[in-house]
This record gives sequence, C-alpha cells and structure tokens, in this order.
Amino acid sequence: MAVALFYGLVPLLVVAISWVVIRRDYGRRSSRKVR
Amino acid sequence: MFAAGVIGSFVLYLVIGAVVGRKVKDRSDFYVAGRKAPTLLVAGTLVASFLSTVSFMGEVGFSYDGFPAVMLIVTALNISGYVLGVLFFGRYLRRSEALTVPEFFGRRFDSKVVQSVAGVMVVLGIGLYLVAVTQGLSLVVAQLLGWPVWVTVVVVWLAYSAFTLMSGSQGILVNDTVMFFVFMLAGVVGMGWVIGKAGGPVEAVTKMAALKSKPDALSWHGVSGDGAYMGSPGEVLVWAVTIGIVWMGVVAISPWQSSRYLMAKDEHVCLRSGFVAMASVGLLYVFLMFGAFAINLFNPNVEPSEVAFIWAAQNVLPPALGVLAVTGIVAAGLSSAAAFLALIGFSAAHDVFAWRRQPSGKQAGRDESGPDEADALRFSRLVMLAGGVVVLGLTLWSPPAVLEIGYFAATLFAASWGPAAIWGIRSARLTARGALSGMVAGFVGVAVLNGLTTFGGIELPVWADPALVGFALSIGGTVVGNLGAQPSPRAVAFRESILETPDRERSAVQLSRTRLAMLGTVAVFAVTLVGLVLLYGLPFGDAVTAGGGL
Repeated sequence: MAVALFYGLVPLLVVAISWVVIRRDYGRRSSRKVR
Repeated sequence: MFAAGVIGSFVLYLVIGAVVGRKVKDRSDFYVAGRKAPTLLVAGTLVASFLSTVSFMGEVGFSYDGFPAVMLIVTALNISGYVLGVLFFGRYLRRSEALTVPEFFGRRFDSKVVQSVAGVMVVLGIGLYLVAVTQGLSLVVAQLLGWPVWVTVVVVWLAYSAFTLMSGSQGILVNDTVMFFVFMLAGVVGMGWVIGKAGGPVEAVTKMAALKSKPDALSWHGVSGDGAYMGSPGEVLVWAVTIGIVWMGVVAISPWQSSRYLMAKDEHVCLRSGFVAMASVGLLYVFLMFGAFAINLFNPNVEPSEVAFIWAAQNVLPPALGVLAVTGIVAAGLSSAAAFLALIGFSAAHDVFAWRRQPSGKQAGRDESGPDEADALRFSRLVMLAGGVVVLGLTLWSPPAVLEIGYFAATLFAASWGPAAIWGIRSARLTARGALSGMVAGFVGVAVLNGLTTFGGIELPVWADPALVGFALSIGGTVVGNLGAQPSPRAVAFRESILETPDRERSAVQLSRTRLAMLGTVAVFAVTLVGLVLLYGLPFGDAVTAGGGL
C-alpha cells in the first residue's frame, strides 16, 4: 500500500509545485525575470 | 514471423528517414529539427531516447526476479526529473537557441574550452553508451532471428546509422515518435495481456503474493529469502531512493534528454512535453513492472531473467501481440541508439574543436544559409559517419558488458554536468574555471569509482553510489575552481538574456494549453493512484493477512 501511495503522490506533488512555478513565470501579471 | 516484424520495422524507419531527410537543408534542420517540433514529437523523442533495452530487458528482468515494487519507488523519483528538469534547465536551454548542450555551456561561461571539454565528454560518454546499447540490441535480434551476432551488429548499426545520417534530428523526431507508440503499446497491451491471462489484476496479485519461489516480492523491499540479492530491506530502500535520485538527474540533465528541448517550437512545448513524458513513462512502468513479475505465474525459471518479456512474447502472448512486443523492445533500443549517434556526431563536428572557430549561435550572428552552411552540413554528416564507424568497430571487438557500461555512461552526465547546469543558471558568480573544474572532477570521479567497483572488485556502501559521490566531487570541484575567479561580462550578459521570459511566451492561450497538459498528467497519476490502491495495495494486504505473513 505504501508503494501505491508513493507512486501516485510523489508525481502529483511534483506537478503541483511545477504548476506554481509555471504560473509565476508565464502568467501575464508575473515579473519579467525568471528567477 | 518475429523476423518479419523486426525487419519490417527496420525498413519502415529507413523509409521515414529517407523521406524526412529530403527536407534537411541546413544545420538547424539537422541538429535541432529547425526548432519547429510540437509537443507530441518532443515528448515522443524524450521517452524514446530514455527507454532502451535496459528498461525492457534489464529492469523487466529485475522486476521478474522479485522487485516490482522497488522498481516503482525508483521510477516515481526518476520520472519527476522530466518536469523538474524542464523547469530548472530545459527551458533555459531552449531559450538560448544553442545547437548543442555543450554550445550552451560554452556561451553561458563565455568559454570555448568549456564547450570543447563538454563536447569531448559527450563523444566519450555517449560513445560508450552507444557501444553498450548496440551490443544489447544485437544480442536480442540475434537471439530472435538466429543470425550470428556479428551479422546482427552490422545490420542493427546500418539500420540506425542510415536514417540518422540521412535525416538527423528531423528523422529522429518522427522515428522516435513512431517507436514511442510501438513500445508503449507493446508494454501496456503486452503486459496487460499477461496480467489478464493470469486472472486479472486482483487475482494475479493474490497469486503473485502466494508465490512460494519468490516470497514477499510485491512488498516495498522486494523478494526475501534466497533470492534477496539486493540485501536487507533497509539497504533495498536506500538503494531505490539513491538510484531514483541519480536517474532523476539523468532525465533532467543528460544530453540525450535535455537536447530534445532544443528542437521544441517554443518553451510551452518544452513544459508540455515534460508533463506528457512523465505521465507516459509513469503509466508504462506500472504495466511493465507488475506484468514482468506476473510472468512468474507462467514460468518462474526464465534464465537469464533479462529475456523474461521476450519469453512471454513467444510463449504467453498471442502471435500478433508477441510480434508487437518484440518489435517494441527493438524499437526502444534503436531509438536510443539513433539519438546517441546523432549527439556524438553533432558534438564531434560542432563542439570538440569549438576553440578553433568564431562564436556561433543566432545571437552571435550565425549564418544559417549559403555555401558555407552546405559545407558545414556535409562536414557534420561525415563526422557522424566516422564516429559511427568507430562505434561499430568497438562494438564488434569489445566483450559484451551491456548493463555495466550503459549504467556508467548514463549516470556520468548527471554527476558531472548537474552542478554546472543548474548552478550556472541560478548564480551569476559561477565562472568558466569553476564550471570546468566541477565537470572534470565529476567525470573523473564517476569514471574511476565505476572502474574500481566494476573491474577492481571494490565494494562501496549502498548509499555511496559512484554517481552520487561523483556529484559531490563535482560540487566540490566547482567551489574550489571558482575561488577568486570573476565571471566575464559576456557570460553575465548571456545569463541575463536567458533569465528573461520572452514576451511571446506570455500568452494566455499558450498557458491554458500547458494547463491542459498539466491536468492530463494529474488525471493519469490520480487514476494510477486509485488503480494501484484498489488493484494492488488492498488485495496484497488481504493476501498477506490471509497468509499470516509480514
């Protein structure tokens, strides 16, 4: 069961974090520089 | 029938190479497919260059031996490298409009020496990897077709060299995507059939949990008892997490992965391709790993375990599906081989002797038309052919050491290039001297440690994987090399230029399409999570309780 949860949740967590960065860097109201 | 499938697929890839090759007019077409590739092609080539016979034979064999859940722990980490890699490295690479990854390093650090050294690493490291992949592929095809190994080596080499030389990255993009679909179908449908024939997921899990010859194989630490060659449960877990992180670095940084973003139409294509690649490999591995262990329910004594999927293709699957499975395994190997040969050729022609030429790149005024460009394209093809001939010679004359060499070469780049790649973008203070000393320290560290463990009989603790130690050496080398050095104004200006998100990338339409790719990936992993809990976690827990184990 632990492996099932790990295999599903780790990628979901990575996707969630990456979306925050993408919205920050590519959204219209974001600052111009990607840091 | 198997021979017809494999040879038929070779002919198809050659025809695609010949047709696409007619559109190659300059180095931009040849090296980076004109930077026009859409998401499907970039994602296809990302996955196809990553998966090879190592996945469909080595890892399938490992899972068949009794470690399917352990392989899933490794995979959850390494597929995360797709999305993290594009965010921390890939999109900046695309923004730089370099032709090769070593050229990116050369321009970031304003140093032709850095470009040349990175180019030499590509030629040596990927050259070795190509030898290993060609050997592995030839052994599979020789076994399937009954040909002598040396004949198969030549045929396999001709197959991937011909279309790569004709069409460069343009043909590789199309062929890789075709191969991506072939091996995805082979893995998902082929292994799905194996599990179905074993009674469906729940019944198969119950039967696998009760296998006396490989007890506890479905647990997080893998098989226990005589077959537990990976050590204690704690050692297995440390190994899985270590290797998962190392391969996350390979997926994020290695030239055969990150260079794919150079072909993308824009940065959103890079981002979407990262999501699609992550979801595709994530889905494939669930089928591949559980299917591989389920082969035990039909025959627990396949020797060597690396041919477990091929055995299933010939003995469990219906003939048509068996041919698809075998063609898929060959496709996975061929696609990696083609990508490697192309990278060797590109770096040998463009990077190794960079210090003898003027600055290149659009921003440095590269002229991508006219007679000089035609000469440069011809030169690139000749150098690629020469590199290919050397690889063919080495493959024919060196003893097979497929997994050892392959693993060494793959992890080499994560360790030696990782700090320079990520650090070079995050910090303006990293200089050419720091980057160069870090790259060399990491490269030499991994090479020496791998040599000692593989050929010198030395055993390192499970947490001290050569790639991790090499990574630490690379960081140390970077810090020491950077002491007292000042970045050049051109290097600082280049970094500033790639940090700025271009206005054309700030489109609401583009962002909403990227959101779709992100949501699709969320859906894939949400369904995978529920599926794994219902079809593996709960039935396995019930079987363990009923059996009184664990």
